[in-house]
Amino acid sequence: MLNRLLIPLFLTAVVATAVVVEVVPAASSAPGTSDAGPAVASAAAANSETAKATAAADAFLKTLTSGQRGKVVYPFSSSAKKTGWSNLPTTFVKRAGVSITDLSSSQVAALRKLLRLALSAQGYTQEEAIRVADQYLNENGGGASYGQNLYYVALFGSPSTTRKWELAFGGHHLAIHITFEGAKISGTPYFVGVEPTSFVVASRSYAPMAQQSGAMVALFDSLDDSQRSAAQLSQSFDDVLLGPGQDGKFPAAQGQLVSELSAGQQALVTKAIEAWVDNVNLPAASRLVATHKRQYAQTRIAWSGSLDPTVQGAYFRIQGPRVWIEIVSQPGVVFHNQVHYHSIWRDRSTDYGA
Amino acid sequence: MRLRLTAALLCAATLAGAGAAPASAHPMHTSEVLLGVQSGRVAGQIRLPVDRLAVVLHGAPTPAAVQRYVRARIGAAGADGRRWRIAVGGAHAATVDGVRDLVLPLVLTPADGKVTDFTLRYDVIIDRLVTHKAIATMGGKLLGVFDWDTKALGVHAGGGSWLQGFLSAVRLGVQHIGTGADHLLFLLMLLVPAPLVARRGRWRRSDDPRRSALRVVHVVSAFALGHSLTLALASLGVVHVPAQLVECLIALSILVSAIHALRPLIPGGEALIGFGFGLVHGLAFATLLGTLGLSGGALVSSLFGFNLGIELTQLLVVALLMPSLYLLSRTGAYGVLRVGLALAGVVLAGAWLLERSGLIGADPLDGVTNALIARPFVVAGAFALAAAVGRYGPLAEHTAIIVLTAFRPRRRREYQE
Repeated sequence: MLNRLLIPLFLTAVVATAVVVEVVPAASSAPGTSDAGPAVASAAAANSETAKATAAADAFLKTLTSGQRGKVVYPFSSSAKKTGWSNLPTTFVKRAGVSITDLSSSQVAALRKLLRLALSAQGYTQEEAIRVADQYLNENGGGASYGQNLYYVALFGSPSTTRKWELAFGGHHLAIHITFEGAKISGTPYFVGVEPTSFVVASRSYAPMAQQSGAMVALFDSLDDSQRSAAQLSQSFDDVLLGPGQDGKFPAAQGQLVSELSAGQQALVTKAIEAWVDNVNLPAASRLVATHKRQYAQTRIAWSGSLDPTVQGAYFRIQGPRVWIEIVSQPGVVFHNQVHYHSIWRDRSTDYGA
Repeated sequence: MRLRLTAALLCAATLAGAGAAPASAHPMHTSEVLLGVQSGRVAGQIRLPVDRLAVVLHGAPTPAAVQRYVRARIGAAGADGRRWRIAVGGAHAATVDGVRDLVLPLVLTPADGKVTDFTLRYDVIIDRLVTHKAIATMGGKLLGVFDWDTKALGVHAGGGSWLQGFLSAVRLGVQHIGTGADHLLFLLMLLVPAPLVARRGRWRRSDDPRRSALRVVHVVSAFALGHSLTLALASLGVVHVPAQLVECLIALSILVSAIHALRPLIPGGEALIGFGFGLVHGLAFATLLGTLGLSGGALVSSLFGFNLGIELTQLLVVALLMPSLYLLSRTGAYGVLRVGLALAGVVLAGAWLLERSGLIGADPLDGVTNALIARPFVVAGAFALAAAVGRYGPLAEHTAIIVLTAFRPRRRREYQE
């Protein structure tokens, strides 16, 4: 009698616990929100760039199932905007949104259209090359933590031509955040890194950050001895200072003042800034570069470690009242005998469109 | 093991308030400050990656120079604002998961010998290498991360009683088994043949539930005895076995017990296997406890609490699985289930063995084990469901036949009318 009652009771209890444990958190932690649906495009388009991006984002959302939309769209104020990105592989830090792995080919095509509109040709080409680099790591000893499809897309806020929304795209060595608010477009924080710094895939050579690294080297090579020593930092670096989780922690500006440089040298500063800023779509980028140029009287350049970017610890920085760009050569993770680059572009006033 | 702990802590730290899942081995060249409250003082150790120390101290500094450098960059002050005495011990080298560390003992002593909440100031390596990070823990729990922007942390240590230390050790033991895929798989492999008896080199059904239950008690007790012995010896510093060897031996223990579940290797030898490999698992538990930097009375009470946590969790696992396994062993499908589980055990343990011995870079089955470990109740539920189907399936079939035959004559009567 005892057996007849206890055994079914035990079995039912264990199965019921399993069901409750599995179902309850899944139901309560879904990131979907009430305003998650695609927004109706406003009749009065405030700005053609934003209008195009909004239309592309809506078109992308339309290709998604409602379940996928719930995972892609977050409220604009969600904390995942700041915590859901990293430079590390995606197996290490969970990203906000849905990965390319989980999208169909037509969904990926719609995502690509959106990225092409939000980024410049330079930015889009680099974004694709960073993913090729990750696939290269996957196939050359890095393993399953790396791969060209381990990149995530998330939207914060509903696409709108007037209200604030953000496109976030990234994975290992890539974190793009482009925020639209009518005519105002912000492209930061923008993390880009690469390992190895150059490689060949399908008989095509890649060096995705050569332009950025080269622009910094050209600038610092142009300095004379006194400028160079004024620009040298006493601290050492083995990563960028203001990476993920370091939002808003800008230190006091250090180094050589840009306005004290020759016109030719100042042009090199502008070129180096453009190497990052021009990754976002060009009309918005040129407005940002113009703003940064007006602030050269309060903008400083600094370096540490070495001026040779193939040397571990080589570090370059440009810091103005708004612009923050840093790039560092740090030890290889998969290719131990060579350095790899990390870099981040931030804007003190408008990170995440703030 | 340290790397996994570090990764978990770092993720928790950088993403306090965000979802983070530690998984793969991406080298984390972070420092660690591991503290524990003892009577009248706070003690522990500092672990510094050698390659990052070299950036700061240029080249290969002497141990004495490292000790002086560290001592000058650590400070503590109690709740009353008075400075605590800082003692930094001599450095020794340790390599865990391929990262070479210098380990320095650290003791913080309040002037009046009363441990209160305190502020810990820390500026080692991060003073020059500003992108470096140091993870700080107290009693195995994350305190925070020191970096270029955070060079002081408030530490809650006041009112830390013997009971609190003991309970946190129990919790650590529970967590360690509950989230340790290797220990759980080993236990499962020992339990699978427990309702059976070995006869002439094959597994046969045992018709004596009391004997089966007794055998489970023997296996679990033997395992407990084994790991308690080595855990105590290793924690007290009597024996020392390299961590990689221990990790490999654990994978081997699962492999052997999985093969035993396929074909009895030693008839009636589950208890012997349990004891022998209990010795190995105890060494691994000691590695974890060692990171807390305890000594004396605190170590003994933690040792006892940690062991208790491990036992409680094991008994819970047995209680959740054994009735289902016993019921399933009464059905004809148990042979298939046993072989399937044992083969899965062989594959998983084999992959671990290859990874831990360095023969393959990453465990290809890591995702599978992580997914299962994350859902312990689903695994237990699946067994219970299978047992329910095995037991009541035939009954349901029987009922259906009765119902159907009850309907048939009536239909026939209608037809006749």
